[in-house]
Amino acid sequence: MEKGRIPSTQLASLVIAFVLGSSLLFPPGGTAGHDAWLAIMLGLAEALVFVLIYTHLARRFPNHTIVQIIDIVFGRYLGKLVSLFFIWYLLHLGSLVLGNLAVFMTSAALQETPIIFFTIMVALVAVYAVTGGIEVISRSSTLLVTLLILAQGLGLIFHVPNMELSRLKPVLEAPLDKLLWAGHAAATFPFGETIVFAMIIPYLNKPNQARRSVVRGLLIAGLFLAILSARNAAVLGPTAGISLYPSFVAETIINIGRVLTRVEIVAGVGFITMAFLKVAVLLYGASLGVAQMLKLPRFEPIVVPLAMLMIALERINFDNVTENLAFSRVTYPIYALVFQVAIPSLTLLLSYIRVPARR
Amino acid sequence: MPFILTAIFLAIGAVQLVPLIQKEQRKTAITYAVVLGLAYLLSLLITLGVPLPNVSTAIHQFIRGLFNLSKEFGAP
Repeated sequence: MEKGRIPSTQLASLVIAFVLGSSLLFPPGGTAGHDAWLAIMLGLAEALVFVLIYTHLARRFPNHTIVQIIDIVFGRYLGKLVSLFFIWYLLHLGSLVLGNLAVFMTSAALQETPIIFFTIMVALVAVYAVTGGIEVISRSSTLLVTLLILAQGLGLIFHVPNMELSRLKPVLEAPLDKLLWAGHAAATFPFGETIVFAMIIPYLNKPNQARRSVVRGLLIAGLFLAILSARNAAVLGPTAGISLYPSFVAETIINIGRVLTRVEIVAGVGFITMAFLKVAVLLYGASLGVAQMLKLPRFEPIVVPLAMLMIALERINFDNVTENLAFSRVTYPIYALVFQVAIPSLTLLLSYIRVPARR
Repeated sequence: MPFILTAIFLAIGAVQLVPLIQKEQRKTAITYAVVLGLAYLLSLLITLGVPLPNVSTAIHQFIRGLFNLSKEFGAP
């Protein structure tokens, strides 16, 4: 079905791009105030457990995606139902990312342009990438992630005069329950969302290096997000917690000798490219999942209708940004656990009971 | 607007569905038609202004009710 094979380094860069997808816009751990960087590190540690579960599953069933594994473990009919739930999650997550990006574009840059325009544009590019296969997505991620890290790294250096490290004190000011919840929220968004890579791992040219690559990608992205979060707090102070797009707002402050100003557009472009990659990975996972669930010969023909469904879902996700925030801060950390932990764990557990290991 | 939407969906469907039927990929064609039909139905209802329940808000309310979650955890 998928003929392409990707090297483990490209998987790592794809993981980085995926994790940074919409978390550059909505940095995780925001509810912990200036301790957000700490919440991100906690979330990263929790998410590593999630990664161990699905990479263990991938090792137990080499050359099988999670949808195929579910089919083997749960059986023909129940397997299809569980797979359908999993595919729903990928589609829903894709629609959320599309929505986040579109709302960002209309609120930060092009206020008069209808939201649907951005969702269609991003979905179109994602469709183009997905129909090219996993190799196209992963190669573009290598290039785009390098450029993004370079741009953000320069942004960080330019921000040094604006930083007040005292704004990060006192450390651990947030109550412990709030910090732990923020950490858990960071584990589910964005780190745990890498469960979608359970659809991609079989297409590594060295599948036994999957765990190492995913963990490496997660660590780099997690560290990057923690540094970015600490920077936002050091530059913006308490307003970092209030702002909807703190990273973007922080970039607007850069002013090097009145020559280098308004560089937020660079950050904006970075957000868009990462979000595009995230949507592309999710659309790829959903298309491949549907094709494998229904045992279709190819996944490419169903990419377009699934993208259209994703766009339609985006239109009926929320009425406003407040609902979006309530969902992502309160509900999503629980909702996502079903797909990021419960389904892979149950599949792994049942695989030991029902299916002998395939080597 | 509904006419433009229908025309777009019909055009996309025709371009992609016809080759699938010609290649006798029946299963793929049916899947394609079902998913596209669902997307079309949703888009049409949205375009016509039919009030549809918000997906994520519905999930939010369900889980919030199920676990009796309050604003303590950082809800705005």
